[in-house]
Amino acid sequence: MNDPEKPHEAVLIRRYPHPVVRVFRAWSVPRHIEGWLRPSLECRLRVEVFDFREGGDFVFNYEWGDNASPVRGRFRTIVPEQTLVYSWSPQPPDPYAGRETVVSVHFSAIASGTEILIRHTLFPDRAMRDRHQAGWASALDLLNTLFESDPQNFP
Amino acid sequence: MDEYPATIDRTFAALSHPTRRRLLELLAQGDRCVTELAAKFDASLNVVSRHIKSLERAGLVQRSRGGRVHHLRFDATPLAEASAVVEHYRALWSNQLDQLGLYLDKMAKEETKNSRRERSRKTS
Repeated sequence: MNDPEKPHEAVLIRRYPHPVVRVFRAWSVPRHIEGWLRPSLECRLRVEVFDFREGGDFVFNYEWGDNASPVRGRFRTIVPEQTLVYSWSPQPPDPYAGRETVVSVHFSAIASGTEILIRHTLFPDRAMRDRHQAGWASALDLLNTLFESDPQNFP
Repeated sequence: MDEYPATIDRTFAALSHPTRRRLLELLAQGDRCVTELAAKFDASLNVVSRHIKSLERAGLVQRSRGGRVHHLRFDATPLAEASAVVEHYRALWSNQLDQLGLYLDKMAKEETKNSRRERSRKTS
């Protein structure tokens, strides 16, 4: 849990002045999920399938205007008020479709409420991740070098 | 768009070898021809060539031919694309977590309203 951010992951930490039980409910009850788990207010979320148990599937349908974009996933780990791990696979026409990513959420009670730690892993397959590890670090270094030496040519 | 992830895989597979990373570092300083690059390595021209081909397949190196001389140029587009995916997810979560904060406040208000209603029902 304490390992530093890896370059193939988005890691975010947030604190909310609310008890863990409420934060976990917001994350595990479809009616509540529809209220916030969307990229913007213009985008509507309909939870179409929600089999909330380890191994159970979910289907989220995102709608904005005449467009719709589903996301499929499967719950891997559910420890109430502590941990949620699920796969997250955007479907076409999402530009990031075609790959399974994994989201893990850790909930901890703190004096002021709840702290959550989210880890969204883009290469969840271990072998692939190890292969990519060295590559990522140098990719970012190379990008920096290139940008410093020639900002005009930067893609 | 299904091509997208495959491209990222190729990018990182290409970067997984130290010789190929060194090749890109050299090319990041300026365009070179194949023999010039090969001279910087202990490995044979053949081996260096093979690494260059792998970088070309990943789209990280562009080759242009002037007569018999092949010029190589570093193309950072695939690298930028790969780090853009991580940035995409980070920005997405950041928005969603802001909305979660607002939604939790709303949940709290509703819960207080409901428990007040409960209590007044019990007392009356």
